[in-house]
Amino acid sequence: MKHPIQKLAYDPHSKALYLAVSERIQKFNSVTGDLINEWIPPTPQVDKDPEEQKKKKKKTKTEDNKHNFFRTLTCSPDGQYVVGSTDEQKSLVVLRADLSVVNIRNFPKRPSAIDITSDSSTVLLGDKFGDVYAVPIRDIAYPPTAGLSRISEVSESESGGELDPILGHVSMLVDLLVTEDERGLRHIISSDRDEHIRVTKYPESYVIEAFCLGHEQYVSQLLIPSWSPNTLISGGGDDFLAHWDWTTGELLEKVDIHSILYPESDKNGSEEQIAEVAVSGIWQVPELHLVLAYDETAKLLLVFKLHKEARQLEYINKFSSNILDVAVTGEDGKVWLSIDDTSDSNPLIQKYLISEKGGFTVIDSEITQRIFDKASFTIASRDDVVALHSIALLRKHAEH
Amino acid sequence: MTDDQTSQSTQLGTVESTRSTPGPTSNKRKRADYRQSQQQKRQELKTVVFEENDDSQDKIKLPKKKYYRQRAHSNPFSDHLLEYPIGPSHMDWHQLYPALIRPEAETSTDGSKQVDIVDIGCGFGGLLVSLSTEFPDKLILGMEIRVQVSHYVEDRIIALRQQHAPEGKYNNIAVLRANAMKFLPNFFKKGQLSKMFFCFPDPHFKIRKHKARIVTSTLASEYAYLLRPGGIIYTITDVLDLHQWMVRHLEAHALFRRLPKEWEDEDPCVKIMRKDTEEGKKVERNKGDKWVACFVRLDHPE
Repeated sequence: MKHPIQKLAYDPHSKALYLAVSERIQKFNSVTGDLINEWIPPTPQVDKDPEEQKKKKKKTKTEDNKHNFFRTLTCSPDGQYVVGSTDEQKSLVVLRADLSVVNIRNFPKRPSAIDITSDSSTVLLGDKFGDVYAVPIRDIAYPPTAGLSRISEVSESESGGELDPILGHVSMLVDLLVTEDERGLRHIISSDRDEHIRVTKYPESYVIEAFCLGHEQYVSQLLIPSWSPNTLISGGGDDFLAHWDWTTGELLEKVDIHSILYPESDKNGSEEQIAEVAVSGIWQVPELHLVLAYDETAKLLLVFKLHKEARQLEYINKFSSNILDVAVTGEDGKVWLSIDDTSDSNPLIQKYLISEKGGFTVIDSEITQRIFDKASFTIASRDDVVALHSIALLRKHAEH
Repeated sequence: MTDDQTSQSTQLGTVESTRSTPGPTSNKRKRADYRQSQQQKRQELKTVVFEENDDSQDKIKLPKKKYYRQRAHSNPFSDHLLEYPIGPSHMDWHQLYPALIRPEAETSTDGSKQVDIVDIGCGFGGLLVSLSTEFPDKLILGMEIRVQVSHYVEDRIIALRQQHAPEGKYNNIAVLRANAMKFLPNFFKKGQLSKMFFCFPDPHFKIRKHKARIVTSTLASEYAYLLRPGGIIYTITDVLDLHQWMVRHLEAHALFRRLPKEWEDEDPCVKIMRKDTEEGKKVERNKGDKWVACFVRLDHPE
């Protein structure tokens, strides 16, 4: 079987599609389906004396590839960089569009969310401890052919300087985004496992502008629709999506999604097991003014319409699929879906056309098949894959 | 509340099985009984407004500290079973200040009183009690993460309110069990507070634990959000390393400026903080050093 494609990123400038598969990144031409390039992380030097190697292996029992897996992946707005963070090494990997390394920096705690400023100059990274760092992309253009030793040199010199967090939650940071308004004022919006959404000025991050308070469970996903820049849509473990004016912290509405995901369940009935919501992704389809929200437990992608200037999200359709990630192209409702399928018969990546009404139609299946043939790599069994659907684990179980 | 119930039931279990054995277990039983009767009293009297001419003969006794002992440290990162409002507008302050805030008063809309001064990690409440008479017109809130200690302060305030019912004193102080590192914005609005006290906080000596310290540059942004311009952060500690840490982190913050020694000497709160906190007294007895640092919340960065 093939390893699932855990993350997707699409660059509209070059129409390139980036795939994060375990610890590697692959770049495809999304029009032809050709594999353009592949980045495989540098392996620790093997030419040392074998005794030492053995010792090292014993110490780090999680040496196998599956653990240093990409948790996040995103393209810079100018399309020049692709950036991701990994779990085991806790590193931020900044690559150029040709997948040459700009830098690799290790962090003390596992990165959980990243975003890039609109000028493509700085990566904002939030970690498991609740801290957020601003990491400048300092591109000292190394030749793309630089060998492995060169790469490790870069990563060493880069990680030498300690970074101080620019803001911090006292809870695991789960999502963040950086936004810029028409006057050029920038803000960081960050959410955590303690129900909080915080609005902080950037780069003057000592100024907290507002809190968006209303969630009662972890907040795992944040989205600002490009056609409604003061709007924030958030979701996580709650039965609803929250719809905010983030500039004031005002909660405009709570959109009940539990009743859409589980129409049969009677919430008032004292049933022992009431299904719990776990929103693992929220995306926008700007050209159609659609908002997509995915629940990883019900495995349903919900489609909402958000009319310009409207203060209400309107539910229009749902689509059943075991989705890992969605890459929005911004082109006439076309999206790429990464699908978690163990049957081995269906491609793990699909391209869909979303209609005005929220319907899904498979398109470009020949190109998708070409991508799929070259994408990913073969693994022996599912045991070689880390847990991919883990958002629901953020739910709290009080200790005392 | 669930917390109380569970601890109570386990205590009852202990009592049941050790009834006949004397020695340390009987002390345990005494403590359980005491806690239970205090718990009952607390439930009944928590929101009672004591009448001015309350001439009931049996005045409530002040609680005894020895029955409320608890481990001095608490992990601020763990998911304690805490009660906190979704946001400031969901908080029912009448439960805490029954004599001064009407039931279901909308603190955000009408002109009713709001909490103005907070004591973070108030311990056994010595500072609260002194601040109560220093600022009789202000609402003062102590926050404490340790359950038993917060119960002690609650019982202490109930007793003081009843004992001083004729003068109407101590109605302006209250205590909450809360994790102040995580949930302050759930209780208070932007710019609501004028003073925040951090008295003898847990030093968390290990470097690995430094993020658990209550004053860090990232938390300072949250304190700046809650304090109005001109508001003051007070810190005092007997641990020099922690003092230097707090000064370094607050001085590095663009919205705080340290106040000079002359200001400290004039300020009544600094005096109270040195003399009237339990920890302060203990350090006094041991002839130890106390380090004070106060910071003003700036309107704009300098």
